[in-house]
Amino acid sequence: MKRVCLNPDCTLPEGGVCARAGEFSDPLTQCPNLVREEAEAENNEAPWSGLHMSESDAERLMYERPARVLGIVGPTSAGKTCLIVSLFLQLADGQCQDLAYRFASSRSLFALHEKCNEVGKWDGQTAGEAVSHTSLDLIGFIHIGLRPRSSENRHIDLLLCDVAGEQFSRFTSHADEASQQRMAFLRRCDGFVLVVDAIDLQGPRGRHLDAELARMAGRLVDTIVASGRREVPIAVMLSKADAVPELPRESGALLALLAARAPRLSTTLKRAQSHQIPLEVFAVAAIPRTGQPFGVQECFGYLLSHADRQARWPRWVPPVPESPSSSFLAMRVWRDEP
Amino acid sequence: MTHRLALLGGPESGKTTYLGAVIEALETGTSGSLSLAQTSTDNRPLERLTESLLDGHYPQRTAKGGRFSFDLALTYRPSEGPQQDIELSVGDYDGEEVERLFRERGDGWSPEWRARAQSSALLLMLRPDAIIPLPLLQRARRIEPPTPRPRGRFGEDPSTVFEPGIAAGEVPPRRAAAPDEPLRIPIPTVLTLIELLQFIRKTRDLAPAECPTPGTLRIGVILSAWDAVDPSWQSRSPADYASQHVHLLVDFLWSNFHTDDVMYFGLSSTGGNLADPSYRQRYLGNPGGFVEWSDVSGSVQRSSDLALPIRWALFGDAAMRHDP
Repeated sequence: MKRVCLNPDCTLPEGGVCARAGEFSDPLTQCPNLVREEAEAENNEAPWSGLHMSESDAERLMYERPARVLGIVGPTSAGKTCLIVSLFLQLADGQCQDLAYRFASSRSLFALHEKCNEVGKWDGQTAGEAVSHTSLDLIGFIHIGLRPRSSENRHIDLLLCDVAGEQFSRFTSHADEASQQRMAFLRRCDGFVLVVDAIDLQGPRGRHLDAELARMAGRLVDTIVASGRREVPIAVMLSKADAVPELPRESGALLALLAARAPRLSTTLKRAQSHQIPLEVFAVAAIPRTGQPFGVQECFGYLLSHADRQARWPRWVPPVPESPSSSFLAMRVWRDEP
Repeated sequence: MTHRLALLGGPESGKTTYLGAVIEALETGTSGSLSLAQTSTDNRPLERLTESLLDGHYPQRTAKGGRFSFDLALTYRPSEGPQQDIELSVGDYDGEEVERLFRERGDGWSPEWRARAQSSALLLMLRPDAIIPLPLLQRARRIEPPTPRPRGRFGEDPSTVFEPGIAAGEVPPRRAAAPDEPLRIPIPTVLTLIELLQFIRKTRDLAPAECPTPGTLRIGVILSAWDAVDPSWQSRSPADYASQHVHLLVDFLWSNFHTDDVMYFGLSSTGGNLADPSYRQRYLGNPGGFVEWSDVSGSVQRSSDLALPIRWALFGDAAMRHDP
């Protein structure tokens, strides 16, 4: 039997307290606002679909508890989905020792399973075909729940939005009202990954790619500035780095490389830095042809260090009064002193 | 007091064989401190589970859609404290049901599953020889086992300040893969079991990473057919094997349950391969199996009491104390 209360302030149906508890000794039987409805015939549907979470599912989850939303954007076939799959595979195999989190939950296990199967069948040779292209129809989120490795008893809901390349390109080209509404979730993102195909960047269409990436990065910077949340980081990820052995790994060297190979993008990144938007560049091989991935943990570790940062009150040290009254106070040892 | 125990596992994970072996141990009085208090009113499920084992054969796989449950009246005589009369409710079902539930979400979460979700304890059965990751681009390299751990017979060698046999809490960490080692992909069985556990937790109104009250929901991970595992891995603990091969499940359990409420066992319901005619003859002369786990001293303990995982699941570490 399902209970519904006509009193909007009452939380009894959800296991809380009757809003008129002071009037009745037994609100469950006496309160006139409490209405008993016949329970609907229980369906046998599973609690969730296991697929990508829709925007409304993500919104409902964020209503229940805080979540960190990461937007993963970039041109088509840059490696956005592979990045997510690689993170999951490394978590699944316990290869994320450098990440300060362990796997705790996922509402997208079926979607991840499908993507893992696709990766498993990839021959390693066909470019851009490790996983199927992201659907254009809906904005979808992959949910991964993490728990810090430390003794903290916390659960972090990570919502990874894999935006289809064509969709984001359209938004970049023309941010009309319809596309702005479609991309409204960007304002809620706690971090962005801009995925750049390192092979294409040094190929014959490198200049076109540079221009496209600069516009994409510009949209991200504008979104962050407009949201007023300057602490939202951007991670620029040079993907397929295993196929470009001469690519440096250090962020400073990668920025210098971008200045040389992608001047438009580099200029936009400088604009981001002028707004004090945190920014790092990573060389990443999410699904390398041989061996283990690299760069994925560093990229997500960087984003989470910002998105999961817990603000602390500034440390205040009360002044020690001068002697003769200070002898006891001078013996204080603050807990977090070295 | 009724305790409900749910056995969860995919196809060919060994649920039916284990149930049959446990019932045989209860009926022959070789199940340690657990014993049958009275004969069941309906013995048909028990007969179905033990019939094949009496002839030295594995029970037939549970038919598609097949499921049944039965109640056992048991007596638990701990080494300390008064004996307890308990009623154990256990069910068996077709292992593919778990995979169907994972794939087809529309109508799989049935009232039976919701009832199983309210169990006092869960035993997850995984078959190590079925844990084969999908090779990616090149043949997946076999995970080399580390150095063997010392072994100890259950109840002997009280070499630690703790009582012998008390289970180790922490699971060894996953070793870092070599740079040239290929990516490993989790097998579907692990994902289906994790999803099932998530559904169970959701049904019990547990939020992600919220641990149930200690002792109210214990999870025993049973690596079945442990006799068939590479001998070099048998010298290690089942927890170590799980950490290296099904790390996603290990992390999920670490994140969502108290350490004391999770336990890893290596179990052989029959002690060997009944498909081997020579072993079958030995089994018929001396039926039985074994269960292994690692204790707080780091040594691997072995016991012939197949009901040990059930005792631990119902009564916790207190059931692991030295039983003569």
